[in-house]
Amino acid sequence: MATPLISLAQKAQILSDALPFIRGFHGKTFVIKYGGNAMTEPALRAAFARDIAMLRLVGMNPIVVHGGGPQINELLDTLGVKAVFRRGMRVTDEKTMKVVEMVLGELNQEIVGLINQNGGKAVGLNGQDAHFIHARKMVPPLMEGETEPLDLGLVGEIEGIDADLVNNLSADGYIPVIMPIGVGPEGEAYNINADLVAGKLAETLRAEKLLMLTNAMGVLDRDGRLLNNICAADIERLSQDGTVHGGMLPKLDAALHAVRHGVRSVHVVDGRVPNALLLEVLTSEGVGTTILPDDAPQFLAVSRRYLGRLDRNMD
Amino acid sequence: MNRVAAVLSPERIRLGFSAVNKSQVLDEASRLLASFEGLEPNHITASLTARERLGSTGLGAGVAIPHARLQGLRQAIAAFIRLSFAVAFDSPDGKPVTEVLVLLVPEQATEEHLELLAQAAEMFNDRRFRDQLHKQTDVVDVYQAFVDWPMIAQ
Repeated sequence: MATPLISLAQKAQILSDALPFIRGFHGKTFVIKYGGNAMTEPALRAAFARDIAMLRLVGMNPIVVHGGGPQINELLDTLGVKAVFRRGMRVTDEKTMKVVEMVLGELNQEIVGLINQNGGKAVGLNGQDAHFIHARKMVPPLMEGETEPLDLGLVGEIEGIDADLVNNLSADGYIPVIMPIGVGPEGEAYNINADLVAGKLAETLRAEKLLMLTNAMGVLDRDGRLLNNICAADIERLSQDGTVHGGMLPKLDAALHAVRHGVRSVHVVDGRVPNALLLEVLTSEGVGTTILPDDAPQFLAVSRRYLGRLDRNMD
Repeated sequence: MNRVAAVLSPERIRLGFSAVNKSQVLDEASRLLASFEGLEPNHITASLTARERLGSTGLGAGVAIPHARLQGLRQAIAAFIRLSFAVAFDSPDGKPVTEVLVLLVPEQATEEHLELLAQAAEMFNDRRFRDQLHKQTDVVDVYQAFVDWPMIAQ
């Protein structure tokens, strides 16, 4: 891709413009769900690692949670094991679980390595480390026409996250890079959807932002147009009327839960855009959809009260 | 013409104001508006600040719409300020602000004034409008961007 020529003075201006953003987000925690093309395309992957190292070095606390869907499918395919998905989730038998753990472990070390080559101090983690992700077998709610719940095998759901390990690492300047494996009461490992881990972690840490990298422009409306800003209630509506479907559903479920439980904003970011993270954090306009809590766009509600209240004072 | 453009004028558009915090932005807005309405700047600042205390008027995406009811004002009036450097505004997305639309409405505000605010918010929530506005570096063109909204969908 051709880089537009800009003068040194313009470069200095761009860096200077970033200062208020760096200042505003200094010391703030961002949980980043990493996946999609941003993880598979070498150029995007390198840019992602640089962005993460940069955010850390300018004083923010990025925490990475990654999936590994396509890579897992690839290996399963090579091994002749058929990948089965139900409601966007991978049915995981023991053989599949071995592959999941293997692929995630390898990806984790690759991501850690790339960030470290760029000057970050990344540390790879798995939910088993210090037993920080407590999981149990996921039992999906019964759907119409079902007599017994769907058996997803070793697919887990999160019971709780112990934030100490991640907090301590982050406070000491490290960048936690987490693979979505949780541990049950008997020490058994569960495969957990990475979106759900990222969402729950963001909640537990009361993160400033949860950023979810996807292979989409963001959340789209019925006519395929990008929605720049939506609130939690909009997500419910879009899920119920079928506008949002497939792999976007678990992402938006996680987003919805996160903004309703203490995360200030969630961003569904187009991970196919180079340096999407820097654009999202250090400029006014993001690249994708910003999801805010229901009470966030208070502007008009407060104004209505403000005008109304003064009206009554006039009497 | 939309409600916002109807109360704005090129003379009340200031591009490239340097402020280090919200209060300097509100002071500048007050000076700018007072010179047109013969109002006391301190009075305007106090009213704008009182409204901010109820909740930030930052919308996100680098935009804020400070506003107030004002004694002695006969009709709604708007000013637009673009800051040289973004300023913290406690916006819902946590991002600092560069584009500031200031609205003053008469003390006996009506539903019409609330609609003016609603339209201003709707305008700035429109990404195409924001992109269009960002491209303009001249006062007349900035004013035209306000006049041209809503643009016809591509």
